[in-house]
Amino acid sequence: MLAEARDLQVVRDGRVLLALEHVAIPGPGPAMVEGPNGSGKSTLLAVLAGLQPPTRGIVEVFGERLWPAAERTRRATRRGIVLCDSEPLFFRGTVAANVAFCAGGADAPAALAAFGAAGLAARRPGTLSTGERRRADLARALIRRPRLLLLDEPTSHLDAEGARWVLDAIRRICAAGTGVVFSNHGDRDLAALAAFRLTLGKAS
Amino acid sequence: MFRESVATAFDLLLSLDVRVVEAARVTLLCSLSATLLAGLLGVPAAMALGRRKGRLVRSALLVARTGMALPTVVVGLLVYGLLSRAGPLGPLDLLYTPAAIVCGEFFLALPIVVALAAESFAALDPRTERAAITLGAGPRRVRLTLLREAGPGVVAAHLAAFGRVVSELGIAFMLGGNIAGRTRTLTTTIAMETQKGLFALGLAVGFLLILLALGVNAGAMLARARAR
Repeated sequence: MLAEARDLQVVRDGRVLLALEHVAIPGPGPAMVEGPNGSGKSTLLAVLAGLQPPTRGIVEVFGERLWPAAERTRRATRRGIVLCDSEPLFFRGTVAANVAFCAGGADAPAALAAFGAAGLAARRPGTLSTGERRRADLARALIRRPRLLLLDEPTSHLDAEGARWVLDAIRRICAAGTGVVFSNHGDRDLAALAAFRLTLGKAS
Repeated sequence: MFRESVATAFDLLLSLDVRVVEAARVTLLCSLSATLLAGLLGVPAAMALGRRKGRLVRSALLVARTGMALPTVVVGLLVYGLLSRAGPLGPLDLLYTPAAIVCGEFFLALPIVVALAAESFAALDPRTERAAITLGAGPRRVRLTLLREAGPGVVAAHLAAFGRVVSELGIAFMLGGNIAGRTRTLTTTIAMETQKGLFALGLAVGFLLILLALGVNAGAMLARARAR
């Protein structure tokens, strides 16, 4: 079991962003979260990443309690989880420095090379194309060897070739034993990849 | 007469006249200390304010922005009240020492650092903190990351604060007392020497202040250019 949530609700400014009675996401995936805009896909991923506290509910990842839990135990669980935003955010500095962020001296160039992005190491993130940003972001996530990789609309804003490349990367990541949960908004090729589907409705 | 004075002023500068050098030493010592102290206290406050919203935060920022426009003599007056013999800090006997100037200039620099640095923290992508956390950053590393991301703006805030304290007159006069070699700063030198009729010396010090302002602004421009 990758993740399980019960009686989950996220409310912000009086608006219900996400409401789920019960969901169990089996491993290893890839699992897909789909639904219209505003159905809470990104919110669910942020909750599963241990970044967004739910207003109510219980969330477990790999059988470890994520919400509610003491910040210290959540931090330990979070160490095995990385969330890649739909529009990756990079810090100041080179791509290599970004990939090495908090990676404890792991080999950033090798991590980039694994995604065919060795040439990007010395570039500034601001100069990258959307596809290159996605590659750099995946390298930055996987250098941490996460047990669970969360991808928010991983093919959005990509051209056909870039999207194909991401699909291939997801397959490889799953085959290597990493749990993957991605959100999707209407990409059929991406949807075809899913071993498990969770469809969210409008969260009232 | 003016042209002669300009020539003499340059002579005084180039020959490193002891009065100019002493005043410059005192000024730099006081201004740098005050700016660094303001940064030490102001940057954490700015980070806290820049990351949050709400009425209390807005009020604090309003206070800081108002503080940016404080007349130096008013700051001098208030700190004088604190440090004078009858004041609460009177027993420390700090009045008319460089420490008194640092104390006053600290209150001048603090709101500038807080208000300007808070702006650069607030201008960061709101996902910065989250991105750092999901990549494994602990609370300490998150704060360091925010500081680094807002770095150029934070540096510019310090330069602005330094530019303000280095060129102020009221505090140095009221709290320092204009004691030669001890609390006589560049600005108090100008005010006094010109009154004594030593126009050229005042002019020399004035040039030095303009040079300092040039340096500060060049630094600020560099910091801003590095932001992108």
